[in-house]
Amino acid sequence: MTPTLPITRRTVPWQSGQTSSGSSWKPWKCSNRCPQSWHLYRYVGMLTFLASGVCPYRIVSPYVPFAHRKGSAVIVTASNLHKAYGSTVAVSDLSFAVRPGQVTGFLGPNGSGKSTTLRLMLGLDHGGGQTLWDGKPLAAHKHAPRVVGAHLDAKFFHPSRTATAHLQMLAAAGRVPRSRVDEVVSLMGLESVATKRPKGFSLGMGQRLGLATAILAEPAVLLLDEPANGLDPQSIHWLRDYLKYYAAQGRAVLVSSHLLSEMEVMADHLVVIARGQLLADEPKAAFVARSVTNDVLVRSARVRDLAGVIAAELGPGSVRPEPPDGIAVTGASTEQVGDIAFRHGLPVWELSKRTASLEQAFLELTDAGQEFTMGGSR
Amino acid sequence: MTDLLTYEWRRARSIRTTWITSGFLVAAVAAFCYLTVLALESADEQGLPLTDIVQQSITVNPVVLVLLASLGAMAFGHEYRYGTIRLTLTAFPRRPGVFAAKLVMTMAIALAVMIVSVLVGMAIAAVAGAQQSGSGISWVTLAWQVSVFAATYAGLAFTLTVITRNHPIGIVGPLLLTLLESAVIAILGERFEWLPRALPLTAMQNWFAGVDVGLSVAVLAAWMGGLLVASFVLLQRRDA
Repeated sequence: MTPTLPITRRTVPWQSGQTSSGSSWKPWKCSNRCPQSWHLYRYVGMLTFLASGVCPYRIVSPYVPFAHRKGSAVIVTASNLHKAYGSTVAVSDLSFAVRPGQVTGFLGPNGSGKSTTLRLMLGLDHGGGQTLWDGKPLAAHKHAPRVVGAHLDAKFFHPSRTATAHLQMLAAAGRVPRSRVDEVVSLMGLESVATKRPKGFSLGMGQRLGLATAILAEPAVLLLDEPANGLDPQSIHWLRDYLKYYAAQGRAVLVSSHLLSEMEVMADHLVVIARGQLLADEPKAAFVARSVTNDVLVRSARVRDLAGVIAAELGPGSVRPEPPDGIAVTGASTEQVGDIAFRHGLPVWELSKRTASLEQAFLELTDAGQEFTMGGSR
Repeated sequence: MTDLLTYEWRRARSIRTTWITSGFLVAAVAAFCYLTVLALESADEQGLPLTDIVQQSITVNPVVLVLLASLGAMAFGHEYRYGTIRLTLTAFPRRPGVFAAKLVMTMAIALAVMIVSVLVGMAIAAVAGAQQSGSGISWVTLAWQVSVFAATYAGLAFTLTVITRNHPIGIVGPLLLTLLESAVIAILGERFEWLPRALPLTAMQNWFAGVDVGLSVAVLAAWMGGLLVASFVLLQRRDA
């Protein structure tokens, strides 16, 4: 049976101060949540702990849960990113910021350069420009996994290394205690496959393992490339809630996705690119509000007359026909349109405001920048 | 660096291939030692000393060569093959550290497996009736020659894997290089007398045989150093 991601926040262990197995922290374990094995050392370390108040494990391996880190909010600034493959420019002079406390959606058509941008930001690809993480390049941070957790592909694992071993290997990078590995396995609903080799994992299970990898060290920034691909609807719902929760803790989340319906409810801010160039970098509400689909629909028995008087008052470009008996008016409120009709004594059957969806706004903006289209040339 | 070495150790020990390859390598040396003793007995020849049997079982055994190369190619080969290099370089953005840790861990594993192989090979050969004493190579000679041999072949596989980003080439590359050297020497060796001494694996053999030791060491070191520098530069400059 396919395990399912937990869907309630009750299961987020660090909210309740419980381990995944439900046991409370012992006072002598300090707030650092040291691994069980470490406490073989406690007979020696306890004296240090009592004398200085500092856990000896913390001196040797200073892993601190995000909630206990000081100055943990990290702003990511990508400046003038550029990447070309021969004569093909994949990313061109791209600059934007990913701010803490919000989910930033990273949108663009296929081949627009989203994945390349993420790789450039992480230093995996070489190109122009630079990305600063809290004012410093990623390589200048002592423990990069605590700064950024990235999930770029659901198949980035060795097929014969068990899921737990995969996470324990990566835990070494951030000096993450073993207990945190167990937490993440539990959080992602991977308990039943934790000791299995992932060569038979479905795309969805691979995504869960990738997400577990990304959040393992509780990084200040999450970079996720199409994280919802292959997840079942329940898991997508959980992921959306989790990422919003994650950002609400003061962390920054950058999510690249094609699922615009998900972005509509998840993202606070949008960065939109096409052909490697920045098209928009603004709050989601402002992005949607710019759409020409934000209009007022008016239906009338004398629609031609109505169109004439509205065009005369608001300008000819503000009216377009909506067959069979309506017009769409842009750049005016329902009240303005209603007043115009009333002043000219024209009957109105329907007067309604239509708000664009993120999808409509996205399609309008990226239509010209679509490099690869389906259904032939338009 | 401690984190990187821990990471590398966990990476290596958490895949079955490491253990299977190591096990086969030890078994191959043991089997070759046993078969050598049996062959000498059946030929009614005077037996070789124990150290010579073990040295021959390792340095002229193509199975050992391939398995050793396989151990050397794993560090980067699996990473490129399964895309985990991107996880590694995200977790450790400083690539020189990653290169150094992988090289150190590869050498440590290769040497550890060689030590076990030598001990098991000697035990098997002794049980099979090999001479315990004689005018063979000394224990010290055996130790450093096996170490150099292991480091050379694992290092060749390591660097070829980084340069080509291809795991299979990393494994068969050292064997192909051995064959290529033999072919080059056979074709051009008489015309260009200096050529055999300028080739890396022949230089290693000359070093082991005590021929032109200084030059042989320099040639081998130059080849290995060049390959290490080339692979390091390519790792630094190329996209992950």
